[in-house]
Amino acid sequence: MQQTTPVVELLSGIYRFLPNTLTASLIVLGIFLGKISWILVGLGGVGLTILIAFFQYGKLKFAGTYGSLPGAAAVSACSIMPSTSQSFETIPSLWMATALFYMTYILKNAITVYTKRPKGARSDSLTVQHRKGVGIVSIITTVILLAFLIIPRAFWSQCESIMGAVLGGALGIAFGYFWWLLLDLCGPDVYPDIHGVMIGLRPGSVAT
Amino acid sequence: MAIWTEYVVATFIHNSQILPETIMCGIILLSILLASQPLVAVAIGVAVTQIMTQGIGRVIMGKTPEGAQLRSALDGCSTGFVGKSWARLLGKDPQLLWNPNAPSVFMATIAFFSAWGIALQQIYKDEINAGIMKKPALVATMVLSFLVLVLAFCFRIYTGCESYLSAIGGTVIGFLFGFLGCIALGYATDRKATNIWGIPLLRRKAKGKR
Repeated sequence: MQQTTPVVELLSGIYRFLPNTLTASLIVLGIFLGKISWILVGLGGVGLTILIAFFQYGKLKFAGTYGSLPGAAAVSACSIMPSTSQSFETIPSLWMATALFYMTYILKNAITVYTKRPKGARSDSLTVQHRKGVGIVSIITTVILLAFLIIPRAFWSQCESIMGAVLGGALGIAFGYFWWLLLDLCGPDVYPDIHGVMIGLRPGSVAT
Repeated sequence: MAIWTEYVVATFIHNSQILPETIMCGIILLSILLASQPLVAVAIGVAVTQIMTQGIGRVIMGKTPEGAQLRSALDGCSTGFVGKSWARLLGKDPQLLWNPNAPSVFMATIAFFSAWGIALQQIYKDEINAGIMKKPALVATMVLSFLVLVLAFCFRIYTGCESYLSAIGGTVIGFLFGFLGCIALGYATDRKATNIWGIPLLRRKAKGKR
């Protein structure tokens, strides 16, 4: 049997808990640093986690253990939540849904940050150029992360089934997009702005 | 109730145990994804705080070795998924030396963020008073951050992972590093490097227009 090297173990530890890392960081840092938009995005991630848990429960109820990986080893290697059960549910994939939820949300906001037409400011002014710079860098890094983290997990790791990854991914993308739209309805440019560069367009708009 | 104990409580406790390293990884990841320079400053600040707290702990352990215990990097008091793997990466023995007199790195990390948030309100008080950021939102998050700090303190004491001395020591060190670090960095960079809210700065705007 081939042994895992410590480096692979270290990176896989970070990789395995990616959605947890983003959810916990956004909520806790949002509270500590007074970033309302981060708290709202993190709460969206929690909401999606609950939704996926219901989906998985419904699937177990009506489709039995189809798509489940049996054994405690599968749970400890693949699950992002500690569980005492002896199987790991892959349909729909919780990891894929939550990771893609955050990626979609960040990408949608980055595109808005990049494409938003300035009102009352010249498009070649320093602040507008800075905002556009943040947007384009964020778009590129998110796409790179998407390619190097999410696609390998979906297609090459033994923790995901194709059906679970596609279903989870679709739910995550849809939820991420609509969560951004919902927050934008509540406070345009302010509440959905995870990048924190749009408040200058609407000062005084952050209210409880 | 199975769902409550098996998922909700277990997930909450698990994420609380690994919170400092989760946030460390999260802040690095978010600073890359969001292309945020102020977040990089926070990440460097918290990394320095953790290293300094560990350094102070080592000095204290050298002076007062009584009560020191060897603990596994795999037990519940170890602060995270990185630590567990990191300990194995650096040495074959994954045990960690814990001393009740050494300041807590867990509490130092949490207190650092709490203090950074308080310092931000101090640095940008002119903008807050001018209504660029609404005060009720900031007061609400400040109250919540205090509650999180208290909960983290109680959690570490209740689970037997810290002594009162180590928890208080860690909290004081983290708070000092966070508050003074943010204030110093803010004023050294004309408040640009700490502008995590992305708010327009009044002084700079006035200079630019006149």
